[in-house]
Amino acid sequence: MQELIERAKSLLEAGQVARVLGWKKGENVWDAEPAFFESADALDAFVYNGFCGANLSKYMIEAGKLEGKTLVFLKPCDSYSFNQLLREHRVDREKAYIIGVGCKGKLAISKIPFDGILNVSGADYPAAAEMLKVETLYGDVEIAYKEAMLERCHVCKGKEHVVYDELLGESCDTVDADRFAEVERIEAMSPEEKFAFFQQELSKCIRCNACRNVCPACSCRKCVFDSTAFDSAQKANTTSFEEKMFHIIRAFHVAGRCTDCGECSRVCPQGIPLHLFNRKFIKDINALYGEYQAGSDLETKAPLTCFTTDDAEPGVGRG
Amino acid sequence: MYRILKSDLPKLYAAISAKNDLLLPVKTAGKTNFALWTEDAVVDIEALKTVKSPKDAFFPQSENLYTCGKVDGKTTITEEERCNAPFVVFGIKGCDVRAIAVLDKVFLSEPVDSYYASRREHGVIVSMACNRPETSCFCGAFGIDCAQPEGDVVTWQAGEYLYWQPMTEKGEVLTQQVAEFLSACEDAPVNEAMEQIRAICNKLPLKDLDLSAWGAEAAQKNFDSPIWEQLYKPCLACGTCTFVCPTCQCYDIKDYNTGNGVQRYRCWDSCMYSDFTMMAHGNNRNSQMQRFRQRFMHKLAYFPANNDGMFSCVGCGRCVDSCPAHLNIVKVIKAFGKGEK
Amino acid sequence: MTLLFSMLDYLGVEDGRTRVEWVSAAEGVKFSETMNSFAKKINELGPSVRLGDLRCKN
Repeated sequence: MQELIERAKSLLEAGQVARVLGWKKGENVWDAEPAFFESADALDAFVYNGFCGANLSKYMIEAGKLEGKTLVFLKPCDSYSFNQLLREHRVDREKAYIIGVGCKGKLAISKIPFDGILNVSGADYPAAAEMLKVETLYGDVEIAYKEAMLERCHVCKGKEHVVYDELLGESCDTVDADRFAEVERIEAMSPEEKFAFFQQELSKCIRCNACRNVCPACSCRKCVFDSTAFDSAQKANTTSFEEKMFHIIRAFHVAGRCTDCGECSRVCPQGIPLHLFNRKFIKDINALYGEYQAGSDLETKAPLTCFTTDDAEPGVGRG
Repeated sequence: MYRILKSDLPKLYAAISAKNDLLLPVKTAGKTNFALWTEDAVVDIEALKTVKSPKDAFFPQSENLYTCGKVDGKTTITEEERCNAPFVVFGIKGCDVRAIAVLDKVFLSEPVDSYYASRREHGVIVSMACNRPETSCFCGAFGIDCAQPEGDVVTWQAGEYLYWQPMTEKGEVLTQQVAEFLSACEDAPVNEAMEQIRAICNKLPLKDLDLSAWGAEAAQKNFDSPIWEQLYKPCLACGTCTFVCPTCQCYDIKDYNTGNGVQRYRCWDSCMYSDFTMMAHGNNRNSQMQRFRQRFMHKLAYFPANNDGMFSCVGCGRCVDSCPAHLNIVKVIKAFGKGEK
Repeated sequence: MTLLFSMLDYLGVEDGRTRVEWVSAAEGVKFSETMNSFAKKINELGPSVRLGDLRCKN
């Protein structure tokens, strides 16, 4: 972590960048917040540990409007989001200085199933421990680092950054699950079971819009759900709307552009596995139009916005 | 003081719901929220905090106000019926009970909100002491004792029993209804449980949260502080904090075109949203910093200024737990407490 | 369309409620047959409870 701070300080002091976008120490080890640092002194509050799961690429849309370059720290998976935003002309590559930072899997405090957590040790970077020591009001306990990891890290896209100016720090393999296993499990259900599964999950939705607002693919200046002309603008109207429409529409709007960064599932206060929608689309796109990973590069034609004579006929498998 | 074996609670729930709608913490797909009791509901009274607060019971996220239609060329207006049947909210924690007192200040002062008032009139609050307070809890800072909450009936979990103490007339009536399941007992186990809870509360990291920078006078003092510019930056402008909050009371009124009429409904609003208080002339607060500031100034300065110093935060810590960017009211309170004005 | 149909299937919406057919402006008979058979099919399936929202209630 010190290495990152030193590098950021020297780039700031040399005037190569005007500000640094990273994570700032919170009250506890697990609540670091995304933050802009404008001076070397401010960087003393910089932190990078296992709990820095927040994907900073979306903040670069705003940062790109500011004077001068912004140094941004991107984890391997975050770099896919940045690339996708670049492709959509939502961020300015010239205004970004990207340090690809290593990642050993990201944790979420909500994945640590103990009451009264006072401190978690072993989440440091680069010295992440295999077992996290958790100090709680009700005694000390331990949990494997892997068990406290975000879902997305179990199906990590890999250790490589797809866009960067320089790299700092090591990453490690965290994959121990199949990316599409859960989607396949649902596909195998009967229509009644499928419907019951999604209804139960989506009935928890409180329509807070956290999934939309955190999503790097949701970068429209004016969202369709914010339109006053739309009957279900932004807030709750009827609970059935959440279950049936909002999430389907959202998933469809980001289909083919979603890099599967997993932020939607990370932030959902109700723990709805929203990535299951996005991943279904990704799986179908792979099957119907050939393997495609959004954000992996700037050249490959996106399957949903280009036509080839090999494209699947509409209505395949239905009607 | 009465008690009931915890293993007998399903019988108690069935007895309560025979005469009242019963709302209590129910686990659905891994998360616990207040929901209507049914025989196959997975009741979860062990969960300290529900994701959403129980304020829905009195002030639902979305409710219809009236419906307009056309019959034989004439416009009809049908008002939504007010709540007219008794219901019980079981297992509300101390912070959330106090939150209802905050909502009362808003909705029961003139002009009285009849939708809310009818629910308050018919609702019975069965509160529950917190056995295992969390790191993010800071109700103590607002003078709330989670070992002895307010409510029509107060309950405690200790050992194999749930202890039951009616506190008000409404509570007595409910106790009468379910008397066959309750047996009279000594106070001693409850006193012991309360002592244990208070001992844990003394170890909570936020127990001494300093609120001295806040209150009625803070309205002028903190408004123009440059600190806000620093604080709001990571805010995603989602409504998580406001929708899990037990005291957030802002709502929006909208019309829904049903195809052959108009349904007027109201739903919770969030000051974090870009169209909050949007009017014909535009928006009062046109930057996220202003909207962010509004939320905390409302809870910690404007509300106390208008309500004899009562804060409209109860320290439940839900926003601390669920903010996607790990911003929260504790960080805001502390930022001003350090004297960095 | 293909993706949408697949998603509807994934969500447990009954098969048969959606259909795509290419009909030229010159194929009046095909259009009529398609529409009639589709209308018959969805009438048989009854109200779309799983995708219904407030608009369907009035």
